Amino acid sequence: MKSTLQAALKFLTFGRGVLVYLLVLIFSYGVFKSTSKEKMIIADFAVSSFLYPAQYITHSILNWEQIHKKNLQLKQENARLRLSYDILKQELAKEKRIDLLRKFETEFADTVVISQIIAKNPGRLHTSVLVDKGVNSEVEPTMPVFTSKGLVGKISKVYLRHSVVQLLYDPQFKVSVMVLPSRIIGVMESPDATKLKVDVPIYSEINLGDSLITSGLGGIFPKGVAIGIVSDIYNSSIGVLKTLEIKPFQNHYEMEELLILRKSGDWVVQEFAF
Amino acid sequence: MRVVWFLVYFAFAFVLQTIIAPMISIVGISPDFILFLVVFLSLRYGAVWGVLWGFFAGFTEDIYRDVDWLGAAAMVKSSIGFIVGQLEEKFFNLGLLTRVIVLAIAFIANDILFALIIGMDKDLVLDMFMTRTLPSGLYTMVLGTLAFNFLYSHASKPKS
Repeated sequence: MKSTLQAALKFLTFGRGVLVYLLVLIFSYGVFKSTSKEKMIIADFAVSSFLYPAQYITHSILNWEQIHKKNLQLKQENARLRLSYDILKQELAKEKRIDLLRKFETEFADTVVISQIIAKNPGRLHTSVLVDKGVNSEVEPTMPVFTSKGLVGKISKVYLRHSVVQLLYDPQFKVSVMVLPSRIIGVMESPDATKLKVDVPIYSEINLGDSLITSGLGGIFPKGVAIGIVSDIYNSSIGVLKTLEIKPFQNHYEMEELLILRKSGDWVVQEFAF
Repeated sequence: MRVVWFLVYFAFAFVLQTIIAPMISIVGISPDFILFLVVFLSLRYGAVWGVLWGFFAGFTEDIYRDVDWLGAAAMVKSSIGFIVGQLEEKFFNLGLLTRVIVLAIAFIANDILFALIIGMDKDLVLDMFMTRTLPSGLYTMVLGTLAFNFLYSHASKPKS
């Protein structure tokens, strides 16, 4: 037994690690070159079988003061009110605002799922987090995720008891936004995973400190959810555009609980449009 | 025994990177503890452990990134583990300054290789280098200097 182990070790250390390096490199390259579907299967297997349990245990050990039920309830209530407020603020200009007020009472009751972050992307790219709600809490892909301060992302993958939240800083994440008070619409993205940017026509009258909300276009996010403020403006490399840098209301490094907006079956974007 | 330490380092690095790093970040710039441990373990235990640690650390990072990039960080970090592992303490007697320089080179190589593998636009690479790699690398080097100093003054030489 001992000699077998020694032989295995000798084999791996052959040429000061050349062999093990080649094996690992070939495997990694094979994974990198596999199809998206195969990659999803590998990622799902790794998350469900190893990473989720390991990080859940780490999280549980570190989170000594777990389950502040009262606090969570208040945060949930606060988030629901904030969401209603953000959307109502946009809708008050409409003639039927009283009807909408009544509608919200029923529309948003029990539509927010409160979840706790149990793992974060360990790299420096802060592009996703893992939350402790999944299929068993009726969470589905593309559901908007926010905090009491504003939008933070959407659900990208759902497992039985946990889900992956794709954050605003993910280079693959794009959301249609409206800049207030000018009401210019643009697409917000983070091509380098560090700064949120929106390109708008160069003639747009936008000032530092203007706020951004979701435009409701695209069908995923309801209109009027707060996102952040314009922190910098400069001319884009494309002459006819200027780029806005956005500072989100919610600091992505200070999140603990996230709120998932359950989209009801009859969710209709037009209800919240102009 | 070394496998147990390997798992302990792995868990420790995760706690550092996911909990401590955001706490000590300065204007969004945080140190990369995982890469530091790739370099440290490669120097201390050699290329085999460097490659294995680099692979697991990189692969774990990949899982949380865009699925199309799966395998990219694993390739980069295992390569860094292999190259740095050639400078194993068993064969070379490195000073603190050399270790910090190795860490800096590994840091820059990590970001540039990753950007090349995923086919990042060259303007973005430059922007990323100036706004993230450089400040984060400097931060990691400062902490790395302290950590190397601490680790080498409190740890015995590894057995061959």
